[in-house]
Amino acid sequence: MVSLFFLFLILLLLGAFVWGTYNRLVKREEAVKEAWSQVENQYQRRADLVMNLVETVKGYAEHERETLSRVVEARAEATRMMVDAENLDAESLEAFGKAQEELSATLSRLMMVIEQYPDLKANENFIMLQGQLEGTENRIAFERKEFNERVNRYNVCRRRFPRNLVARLLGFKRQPYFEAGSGTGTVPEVQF
Amino acid sequence: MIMKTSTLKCIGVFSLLFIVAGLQAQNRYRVEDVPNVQLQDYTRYVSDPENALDMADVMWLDERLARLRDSLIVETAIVVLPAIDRQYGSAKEFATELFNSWGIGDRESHNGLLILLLTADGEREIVFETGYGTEKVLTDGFCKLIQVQKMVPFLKEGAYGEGLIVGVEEVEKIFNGTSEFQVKKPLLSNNEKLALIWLVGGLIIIFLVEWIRKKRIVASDDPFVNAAKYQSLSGIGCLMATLFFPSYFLYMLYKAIAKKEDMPRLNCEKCGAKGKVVLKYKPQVEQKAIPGQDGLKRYHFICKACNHGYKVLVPYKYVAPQTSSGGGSSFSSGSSSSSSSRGGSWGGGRSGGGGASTKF
Repeated sequence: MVSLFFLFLILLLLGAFVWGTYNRLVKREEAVKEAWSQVENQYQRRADLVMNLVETVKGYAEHERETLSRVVEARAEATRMMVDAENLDAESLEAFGKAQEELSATLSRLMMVIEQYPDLKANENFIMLQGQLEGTENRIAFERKEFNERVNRYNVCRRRFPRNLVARLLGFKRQPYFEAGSGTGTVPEVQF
Repeated sequence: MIMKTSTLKCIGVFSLLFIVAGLQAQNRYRVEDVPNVQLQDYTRYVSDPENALDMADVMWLDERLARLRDSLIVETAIVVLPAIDRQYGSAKEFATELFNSWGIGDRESHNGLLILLLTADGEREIVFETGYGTEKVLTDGFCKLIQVQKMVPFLKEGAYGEGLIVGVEEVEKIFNGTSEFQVKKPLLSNNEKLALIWLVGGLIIIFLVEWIRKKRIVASDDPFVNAAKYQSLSGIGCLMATLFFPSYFLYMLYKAIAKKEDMPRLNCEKCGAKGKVVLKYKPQVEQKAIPGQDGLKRYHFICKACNHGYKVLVPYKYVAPQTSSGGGSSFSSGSSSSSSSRGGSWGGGRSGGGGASTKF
């Protein structure tokens, strides 16, 4: 009788533990997803700004068609690449990051070219866009940091003993980090 | 020999001094090293631990920023440092961290603004960090514009105080909606002003001409001749129409709405109906006018009540053919609005990396 009671108690405690762990993991997973959508928002904002930038530059730098078209292509590629927040896996994150890096690289080249156009550099519209674009890069960096922190919190929670048993049992997967490639995330500044 | 060693010593001491001074100048700050002046004294908004600014400028800025905060617009902190620690990826990153660690701006409206100025050689940079609320009005683009066009020219010359003052003034203008950056164009461009003069001037001239016309017609006794003269003077109307066609169109519209008729009302002599006599056909030229000699036009009037007809011959003046062309006009106006929000305490505002930075 006493042993039955203890068995019941242990089962109850185990159930409470599983329940608590499940809820905690779900909460952290949701936080990760939310952070990811913020990251994507900022990238989307950047893509929009790039279009405006291309339009502005076009008027001043007729000879830079090639550089401009490369930016437009990279932008199209980057906007096509979307990662579903519901299943973030390492591969799609890497592909996404790569497409965005490509856009950053073409943008860098464009900014370098722009150095030769003093009229364009003095254009109010251009300065504004330049500021918006830099701001977006900062926000991307900020949101990416936030995302990685949340992923870290989730992963640590998932891997600690004894929660890892529950996590494995309930199929909670490890979340990948969103790493920045080397030398990306910043558009070189135009010297004013 | 003794002299030499002493000079060497001297040089050694001096170079040591320079190294120390150099280290001092290169003092690299971390976020937690920056003195939070607001906590020490609520009237202070400028943290300048190395005294890079003139006292007078700091006082001016403190006063202005206090007013700005009281007027509920934006809560601003200014931080002037030589350089930041190398652990930070960029001055912007440092600014974001400092902003959030101090919590500049209201907890609810996030109306904080941090202006960070780095002054060491090779590190010179001006950074604006805007709170979540601030960035809606003071966008990154405006931040950049203010920095590049207003502040950097001063900062480049080492006039840090002036640069910051100009920057703060411009930020205030952005929030008041009176910045030149916001008011993209004057309400009317020069072309549009000309167009407006053309329109209004045309209307005035048309009304004047019409008034003179009526006066001249009253001079005649015969009502039929008067009526005919109204028609005969359409040459001037035509001229008006070509010269000021938008105004003429407006005038016609006015006449149509006000139901003003060109002709005085004519009464029929035969049946006595009042105001029923109207022009039947377009006037026909009986005798063509040539320069120097008037022509004659025949007008057919008819009474709508009894069909009684009238024929009137009226002389008309020679009018030289006119050619004129007009251009279209368009009007646009730029307007901008600004919003303001309640200020609170230094302690709660958050920034998501908004703002801009410019190296100089």
